[in-house]
Parts: sequence; C-alpha cells; structure tokens
Amino acid sequence: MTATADAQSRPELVSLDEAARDRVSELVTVRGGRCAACGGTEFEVGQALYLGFLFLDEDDDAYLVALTCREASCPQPRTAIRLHHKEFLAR
Amino acid sequence: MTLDYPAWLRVDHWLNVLFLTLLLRSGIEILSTHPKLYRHEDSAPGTQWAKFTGKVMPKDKLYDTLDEEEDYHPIIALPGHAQLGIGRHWHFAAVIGWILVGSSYYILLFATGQWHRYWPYSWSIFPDAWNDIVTYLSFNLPPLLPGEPLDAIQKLTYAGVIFGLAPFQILTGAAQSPAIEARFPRYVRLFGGRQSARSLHFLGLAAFLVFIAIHLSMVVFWGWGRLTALMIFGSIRNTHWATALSLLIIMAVVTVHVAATVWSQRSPASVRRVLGAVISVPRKGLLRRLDSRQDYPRRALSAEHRVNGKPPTAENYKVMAVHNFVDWRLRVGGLVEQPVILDLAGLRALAEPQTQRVLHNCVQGWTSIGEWTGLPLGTLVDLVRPLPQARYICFMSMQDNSTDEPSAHGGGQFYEVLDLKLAHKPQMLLAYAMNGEPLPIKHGAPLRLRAETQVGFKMAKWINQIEFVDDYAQIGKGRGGWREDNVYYGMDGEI
Repeated sequence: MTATADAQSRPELVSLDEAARDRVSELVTVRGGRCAACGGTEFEVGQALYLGFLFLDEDDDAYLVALTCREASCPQPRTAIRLHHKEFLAR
Repeated sequence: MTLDYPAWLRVDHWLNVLFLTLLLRSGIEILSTHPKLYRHEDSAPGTQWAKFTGKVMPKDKLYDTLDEEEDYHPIIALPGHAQLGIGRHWHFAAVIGWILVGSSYYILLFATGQWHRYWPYSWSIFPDAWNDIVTYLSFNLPPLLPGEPLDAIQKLTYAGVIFGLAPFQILTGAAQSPAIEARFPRYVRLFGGRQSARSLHFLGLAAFLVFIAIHLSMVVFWGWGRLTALMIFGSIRNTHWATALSLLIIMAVVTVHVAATVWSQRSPASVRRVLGAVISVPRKGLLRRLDSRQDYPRRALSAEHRVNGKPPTAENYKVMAVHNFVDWRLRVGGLVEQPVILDLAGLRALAEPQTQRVLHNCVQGWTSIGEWTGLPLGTLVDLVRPLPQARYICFMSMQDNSTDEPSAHGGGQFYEVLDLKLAHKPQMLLAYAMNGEPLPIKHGAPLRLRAETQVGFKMAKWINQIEFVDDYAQIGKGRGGWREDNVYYGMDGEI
C-alpha cells in the first residue's frame, strides 16, 4: 500500500459540497443538536456514509454524516447525524 | 489366472457401498450451502453455469453468501437442513474410510492378479462394448468376455470408475483444500482453477449417481440372486439366501445412514468431537505444514470480491466508520509481556506494509481473488511477546450475530481462535487495505485477518481486540470460534 493510499478516504465515504454541508448544519440546529460529550452546539460537517446498502437495520435512503464538535476541550468530539437523502443531498 | 470373487474383493465392495453413499449425501449437504457452480475464480453473482436454488438476491441491500444457503432434506443430504459443519465432518471422515478401502482394493487387486479383470487387452473391446450397449438397449444380455466375469462394456466401465472416476474425485476434492491451493496453486490450475475443480467434483458426483443407477439395473437384469451370490458367497449358489443377505446388507447401510442423520440432528457437538478426532489426523499431519505461496497477477483480481457476514450495526461502529476509524482502537493483551493499544496509524507504523494477491476460499465453496495489504501477524506477535504458556490467539470482532446476521445459525459476538504456531507462517496478515484502498466496510474495516492456508471463516473481520490465551475452552462454547460453536465447523481450517 502506498502513502497515497494511506491518506485516501475510505471508498464508502461521500464528500459533500458546500450547499449540502450548509443544509446539514441547519438541520443540526433545527433539531437542537448538542454534543453528547461537552454540550457544544457548533459542529464541523464532514463526509457522509451511505448506510442503506451496507447495514441491514437502516432505511434504504439513510446516510450518516460526520460531525466534529468545534469545542477545543471536548473529550469526545467525533459524532454524527443520521439523515435521509432528500434532506441534504437532493437538489 | 482365475478372475473370481475373493473374500477381500467382496468385503471391499460392500464397504465401498457404505462409504460412497455417505460421501454422496454429505457432498450434497456441502453443495447446498452454496448451490451454484462456476467456471471462474471470482464466483461472480450471475455467472454460475448451474444452480440448484430458486432464491433471488436483492440488488439494493448488501447480501452475503449465508443468505444464499439452501436447506435440503435429509433424504438426499447428510445430515440435511443446512448443517454444513456436520456435513463437512461426515464428508471428510467418509473420504478417509473410502481412501483406506480403495487403497486396500488397489493393493490386493495388483498383488493377487485380479487387476486383469479390468485390463483391456485388445482394441476390439471398444466395438464389442458398443455392441453390448446396443444389445442392452434391445433388452437382451450380451455375452461375457471369454474366461472373464464381465462383458466388454462392464469391463470398460468398471475400469473407468475404479482407475479414473474414483481417483479423479479424490484429486478434485484435494484441489479444494485452501492449504493445498495456497501451497500448490499450479496443481489447482491443472483442473482449470479452483471453481473448475469444484464443478468437476460435482460432475464426478453426478457420474457416480449415474453409475450406481446403471449398476443396480445391471444386477437386476442379470439376476439379483446370481450376482449378489457372487458378491456374498464368491460363487453362484444359494441364490435365495444371497438375495436375503444382500437386502440385509443394504438395510444395514441404510441403518447407518439413518443413525448418522439422527445422531447429527440430535447431538451435533458429539458428531463434531468424534469425527473431528479422525479428521484432525491428516489435517494436522499433512496439511498444517503447508505454507501459502500465492502471488496472483494483478489482472486476476476479482472485480467484485464476494463477502460473507454483515457489518456491525452498532451505532458506535457506524460513527467510527464515518470518521474514517480515527477513534478505533485495537487492544492486544492476554498472556503477553507487553500488552498494547494501537490506533490505525500506530498499527500501520509498526512495519512496512506487506501485500499479497491471493485466492479467498470460503468454507461454502465460492472463491474470489483479492489484493490485501497490512501488517504481518508475526510482527505484532513479536511486539507483544507472548508468555510461554500462550498457545492460541483469539481475534474478537465488533460483529454481533444476534443483530447483524439474520442468516447465521446463532447469536453473540463473533470471534475466531488461531493456533499461535501459525502466526509466523507466510502470508499471515492483519489487513487494513484491499486492492489499494482502505479496507472496505463489508470486507471487515478497519482490520481483518488473512490466513491464506485456512478457509475463510477463520479470517475474523471488524477486529478490535486480540487476546493471547493458553486454552479456548472458556471462550464462547469452547470450540475455538463462533462458527465452531454454532455451525460445528472444525477448529482447524486447512480443508
């Protein structure tokens, strides 16, 4: 495996454009999203994982979107929000 | 030379009936677990040349080959009802008996000169055999060859079965052992590859079924009492007694089959223990020492590598996955001098990555070719330094079959135990990449085991903990792995 491959994101992850990331941020706010570890409300939106195909307990159009708590002292900053395709990817 | 029916030939004949029928039924059980036959090593869905299932697999949801498993009735399969582990035990135990009987038959055949009964001394036997076929088709009996117990077509057929079909079945069966395939890939290519070997093995099974049907028809046509007298008393006498005794022998064989089926259904653990003790002799004596020497060309990689087992549904696994497993940790401990906790970057940094392009042998019979990259297992073992009493390595998975695999025969956390002696063998790998990319989730991300002389179920996926232990009796149900506990596979995966 090359250093390039090391740095690669995993094949199942989907990169989001700015519009999609904004929609995710709005939905986090609308749903009153708070960091379970520190209570923070500011998150950086990362990549998305399509759950519908891989996981038998998920809806067909379910995605998990990576969220990272912006609170520098957060002991467990990495979390996620479960969304449907139409909520953040549909144009 | 008198070509008669000596006692050893008669005994071997009836023992052959027993072992061959056990092989046929247990072989059908093994087929039922993946009832599709392929020409190519990738076993790609839809490319089978034959299938014995009506199941249709979904396109929008990940399915695995456990979902494709069929449930055949015990009348045709031993033990039936999708019990692959027990079916394998019967098949491998029966083949040991069959080889021993066959070996004694060969030795005595040549030592006593009885091999002349099968040797075609003249090319004229072929037109004679054709004439015999025509005679049979006109519902008449052809003449026997002068001074011989068989007619021409019988002689050729028996010679073909004894010196052709039977060894062919053993050779194509051996070609399906992952240990043999890993050590002697060229041998497997003699048959056109692993899937061709499996297909040919199936055709051999079908040929035996056809042979048995014709053989029994011949016995009826020529006179059941006369021919069974030859095979029981060695000469044509007491034909009524011969008929009765032959039916008694057949009933005894059927009784063995019924007893084997009932025993398997009621107490699979004891079947596994008893037959496993028999099978482990050649498995450990002959196959354990083989090292993997595979290096398939890049062009041979399967476009879509099949999978078995479904990813963990636990929420923390999914959250780790969407963050590229930054929070994943591998805990290595137990009977070691230096327990460690590693993240993915730390694991990668332990040694230069090792890459291998190999054939994956699923216990169900399918194969695929993949390129795996990771840390040699031996490097991790050297790092943690097992204590002298450590004998096994237990790989624990994040997969919980209670929730993650509805097609599995049982629940609970998946784990597999490997003999510590295997750790430093070639191509033993903790893989974190596949085909040049991070290990996909469906293939065990972020870490899985590759043990290329073993069947696929030993290669635990979604690993997050490795324990060195002196015994596995206290882990799970104490049989050496989740599939050993629940599906009664043998603990050693060389066949």
